[in-house]
Amino acid sequence: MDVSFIILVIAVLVGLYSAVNIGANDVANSMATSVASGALTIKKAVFVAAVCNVFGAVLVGAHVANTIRKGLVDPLHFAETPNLFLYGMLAAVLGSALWVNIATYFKLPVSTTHSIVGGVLGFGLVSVGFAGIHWNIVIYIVLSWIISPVFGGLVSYVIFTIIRKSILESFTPIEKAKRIGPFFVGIVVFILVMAIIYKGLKNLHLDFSFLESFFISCTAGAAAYFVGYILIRRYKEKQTDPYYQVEQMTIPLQILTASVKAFSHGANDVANAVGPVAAIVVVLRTHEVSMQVPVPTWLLIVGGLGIGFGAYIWGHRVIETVGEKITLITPTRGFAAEFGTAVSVLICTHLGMPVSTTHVSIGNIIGVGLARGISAIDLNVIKKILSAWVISVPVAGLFSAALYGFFIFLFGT
Amino acid sequence: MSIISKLLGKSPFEPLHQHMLKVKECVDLIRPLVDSLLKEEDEKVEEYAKKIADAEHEADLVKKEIRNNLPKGLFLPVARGDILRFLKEQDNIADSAEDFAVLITLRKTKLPDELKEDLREFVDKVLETFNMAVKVSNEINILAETSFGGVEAEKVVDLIENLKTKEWEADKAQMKTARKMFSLEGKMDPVSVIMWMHIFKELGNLANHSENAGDQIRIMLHNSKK
Repeated sequence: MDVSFIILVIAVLVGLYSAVNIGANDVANSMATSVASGALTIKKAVFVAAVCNVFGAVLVGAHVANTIRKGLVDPLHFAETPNLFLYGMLAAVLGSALWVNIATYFKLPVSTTHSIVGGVLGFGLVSVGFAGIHWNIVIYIVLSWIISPVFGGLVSYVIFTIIRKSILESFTPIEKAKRIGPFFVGIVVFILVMAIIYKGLKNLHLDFSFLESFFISCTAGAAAYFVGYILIRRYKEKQTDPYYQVEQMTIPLQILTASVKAFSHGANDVANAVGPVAAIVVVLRTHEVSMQVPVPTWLLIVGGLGIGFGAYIWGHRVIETVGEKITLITPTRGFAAEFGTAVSVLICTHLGMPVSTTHVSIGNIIGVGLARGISAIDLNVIKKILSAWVISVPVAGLFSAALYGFFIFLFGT
Repeated sequence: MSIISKLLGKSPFEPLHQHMLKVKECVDLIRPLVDSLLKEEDEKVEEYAKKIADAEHEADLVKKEIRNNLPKGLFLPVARGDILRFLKEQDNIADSAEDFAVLITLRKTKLPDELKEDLREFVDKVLETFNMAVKVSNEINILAETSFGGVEAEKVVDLIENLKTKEWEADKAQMKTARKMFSLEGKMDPVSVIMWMHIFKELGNLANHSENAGDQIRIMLHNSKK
């Protein structure tokens, strides 16, 4: 048994561990709004989250995994010494897992995304130095961390303002909801289908062009519009509070967006677990540092299942603590917030940008709040997030750099 | 624990309504107190006065709880100051009810028989005013649900208009009662006259604070229109 096999096993195990961690912790953030609004029970939320995370990871996950695998540190620097690249990626995945664990212990709201980016940068800096890092990509990624919550928040703001102006402020909220609801269903399905098929189905040897994807997605969206139209017509108006009824009518829509959000979560976050592992696997298989070999599909499946498993086993515990505290997000608000998150994360995923789903969610909730949709938002939390953000990248980087040195000491170059 | 749950603070709106319900418990005791007063059942008057004081204290606790849950960093759909001022006015209603009960028990001030009917009417008008304020307060959760705008906001503005009319009627009843008392001043001892003036004023305040609470909601609605 040689060193490379040991490294492979360690890498896959650590990647799997990260995936389970991501599933266990972040699933609460992707499903919290649905549970809080009563749209889904905890059990159902966890199940939906697990399944959608797996699909998202497998179907769309490769874009971001590629960025982490070969976008930050140019693998060509390691053409002569592929082993160093192995140690580096292993150090990155171990270092960030270590940091996330320590941070969780101290209850810091860290993001696995920021940690893994920090981890890859850390070993990159000590191995190939400042010049070996693709700083333009690093800057893109950091920008995407700022832009994704802001953009998502903007989408949520617009969506909730539409709901408020057209439904909640009208004389006939239920009638208006019946008219506008199917549109939302259509748009959500359009975005979901677009995200899946545009550049998504390479693994199935289906590679649609943008126009083809757009056309297919439009058709699917239109079909969804009609299904929504028929379903919503069957709703019988009751004599109770119309606003409450509007909220009840929004529940199926919220479940739909929550699923898309879980899908996008899996798509973006699977890279945090398997990105470096993919790099390791590729090197071990080809014995050289190649740019061309794609992220292995089986690895995405392993990562996706890991996230799904983590969500399924521990998700309920995290959601419970969330559900007790939140009482304020109703289905219309939840829909607006989740919609913005899903759109923002899916776009970033397609651009290969590893973003923090949790932070995007926060941006979206604030977006709904700015549209006067939420009764109380504690903005003090933002300070905590910003500080954890600023700490995460360098600390995970330090851990990774130290581990890299340790591996070289252990295995030699 | 998830960061999202930390982000979502506790909504002040349902507690504001809970506070109003506590204030209502307090104010609802005024009628039985006045009835006992008019029947000159002193023990019962004392008993009701004590109950009012207890209810006022409970309302105070709810008020404190709401204030403690409104830190500065909280982002709300309406201005934090508007909420706190509304809470203050709502709480003043309970304070007036308590002060009224205290003034009645301070001194066994007799009310001339001729004034009894007027006092009863005055109390009716004040309680009607207060109950309109309760109706406004009942809407606060729905206002939060509709983001303080649209048809629901218009409905609440109408309720506030009614509240203002009621308060005006209460004012008139107060004046009428006071006027009648002064027409009887020859028959009454001066201290009693002063005491009753104070008592009337406190009842009038109860209606005033009810109106102010409604006005405060109107300010919230107005500010959120921008």
